[in-house]
Amino acid sequence: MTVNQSGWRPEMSADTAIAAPPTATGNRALMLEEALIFEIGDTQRTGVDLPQAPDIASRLGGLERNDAIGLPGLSEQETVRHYTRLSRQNYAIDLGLFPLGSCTMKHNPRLNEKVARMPGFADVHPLAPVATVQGALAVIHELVRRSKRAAMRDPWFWCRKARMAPIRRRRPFAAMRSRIFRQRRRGASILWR
Amino acid sequence: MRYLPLTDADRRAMLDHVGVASIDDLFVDVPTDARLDAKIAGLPDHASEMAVERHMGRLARQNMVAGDVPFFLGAGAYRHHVPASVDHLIQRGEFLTAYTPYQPEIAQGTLQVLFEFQTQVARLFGCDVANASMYDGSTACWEAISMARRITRRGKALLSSGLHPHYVSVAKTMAGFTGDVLAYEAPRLEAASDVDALIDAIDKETSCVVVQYPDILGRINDLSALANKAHEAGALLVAVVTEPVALGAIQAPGHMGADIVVGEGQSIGVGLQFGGPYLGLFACKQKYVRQMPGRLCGETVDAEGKRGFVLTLSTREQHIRREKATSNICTNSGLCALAFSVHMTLLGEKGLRDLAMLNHLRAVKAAEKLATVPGVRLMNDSFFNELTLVLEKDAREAVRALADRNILGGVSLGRLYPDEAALAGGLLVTVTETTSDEDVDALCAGLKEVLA
Repeated sequence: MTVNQSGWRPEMSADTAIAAPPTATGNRALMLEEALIFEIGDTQRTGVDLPQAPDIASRLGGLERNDAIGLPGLSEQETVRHYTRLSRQNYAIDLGLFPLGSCTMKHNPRLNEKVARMPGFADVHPLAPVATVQGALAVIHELVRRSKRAAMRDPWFWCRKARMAPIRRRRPFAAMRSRIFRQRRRGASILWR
Repeated sequence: MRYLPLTDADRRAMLDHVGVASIDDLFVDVPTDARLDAKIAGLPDHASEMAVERHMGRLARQNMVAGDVPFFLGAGAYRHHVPASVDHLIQRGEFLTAYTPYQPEIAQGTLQVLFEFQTQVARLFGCDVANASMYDGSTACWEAISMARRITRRGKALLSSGLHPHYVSVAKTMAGFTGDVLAYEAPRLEAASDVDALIDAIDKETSCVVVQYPDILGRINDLSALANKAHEAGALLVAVVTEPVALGAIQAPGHMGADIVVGEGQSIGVGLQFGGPYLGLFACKQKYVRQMPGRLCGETVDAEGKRGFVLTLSTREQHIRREKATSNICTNSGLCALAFSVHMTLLGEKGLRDLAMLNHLRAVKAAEKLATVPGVRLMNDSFFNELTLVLEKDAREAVRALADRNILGGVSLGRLYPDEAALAGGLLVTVTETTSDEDVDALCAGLKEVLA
């Protein structure tokens, strides 16, 4: 129910409507228009601070990049403002219902973000010695085991039902899933191939 | 956290509105023998948020954290410092929980970010146009091979021996379905690259030559001659960049004549994350844009004449053209692209160049130190932040022995090429701005012990 049921709104007086006074940002109230980084940034500005590089000869094989790359930089404050303002031009699940979905929109608990950022998961290299990443491998193993339980109780059900050949040659990514499907049936572990 | 927070009253109200008596009535179309009538055996009930966090925390602590020890791994995934504001910004709900931008009216934020991202990637790679990202470097590499086939109408790709073996493996899997012929052999432990051999191998059936830059062993090769020879034979040059930070120090592949440049964007803004999600980068010459895979974001004006951004050239894409699309990829790694773009904006050209030279010169300093360890030889003449050491013993064993001493000393070539005995002594060592002098000293001391 709306609070203002009468629909009343204050009348704009004639003289305020004449000319929009210029504003510092160029925006009116919360109606934001954000410039491109290429319009506000500068190739010599940077938002990071780095230590001094060692004074030593380079070994780049004579292929040093001498052209102007054309990548604008912003200070940290400007960067935060730029992307925060842009974020406000998005509609998102966090703002309300999104009844659209070739990719189904579900609630993702914030816990997932927290866990994925634990250093033991976020700061681990995929080619680290296997003995040093047992926790990460355990997560994947657990996921595979449980997904199998949930999804593969009777993998041939629909094939029998529809009397269709179980494997169809499709376009590559879809076909790859069929392959995984076959490998699972053969009992091969899909993840370690 | 509860996934099904409805009260009985909520359920009742919805059922009444729909006009059915019970929830089961909603599933009458599903054959009874296909319905799940009991709990799934072996699948536990949901756990509380606290319990999940405790369980996952316990598993996380079983991993050796890169930041806690001297760390030298690379080979396609690089550890760089990511400024705190990157992670802060990508967690804004408006970015984190936005849908794919099919409706530009409510997705101008995402679309402008992607537009800026594309321009950053195109300039970094020295190309005319870049797309809004792919899954990762390896799939981007395959998409480039596939695109070259469409453009040249030829089915044979020459893969450089310096291409990441995992990228080769992805390409081989996909080629198994498309029928592309891929010519590839494993690299040799020598400072010279295989550019001359590739030039000799180009023929009239060649769709493209795929070359990594810097290559898997860290070598930096001038691609200009290769580009010229490929073009003379009507083939394309595809360059693969697994460490985009390098392009702040060395020439862009696009400027050396590469027609398509693809890469792994993980090293800018995205952490190691045990391998994913990562970020595929894809750029090419303007004349090939209509054969490009993936999403493209373009600038336009709205009904009031104001600037706006939209997805463009969508007829290439599978959500419009289905099986006639240039590729099966439809969505993109949006959040990782945002992280890349924010980090790149924080760096700017000056920051990127400084970061690149800091990586490189620290690597040069480390290489000189490591080469003094008995039993260790530096293979490379040129390199960026990753180089190949040749050890007098099996590098796989050395890496394990170093890990026992809490040193993550690099990626052994035995891990990447388990079937190549000639490469067993090779150790890939990466040095970035996160590697301290003490770390390098620890690796030298560790290698001395391990090789003694």
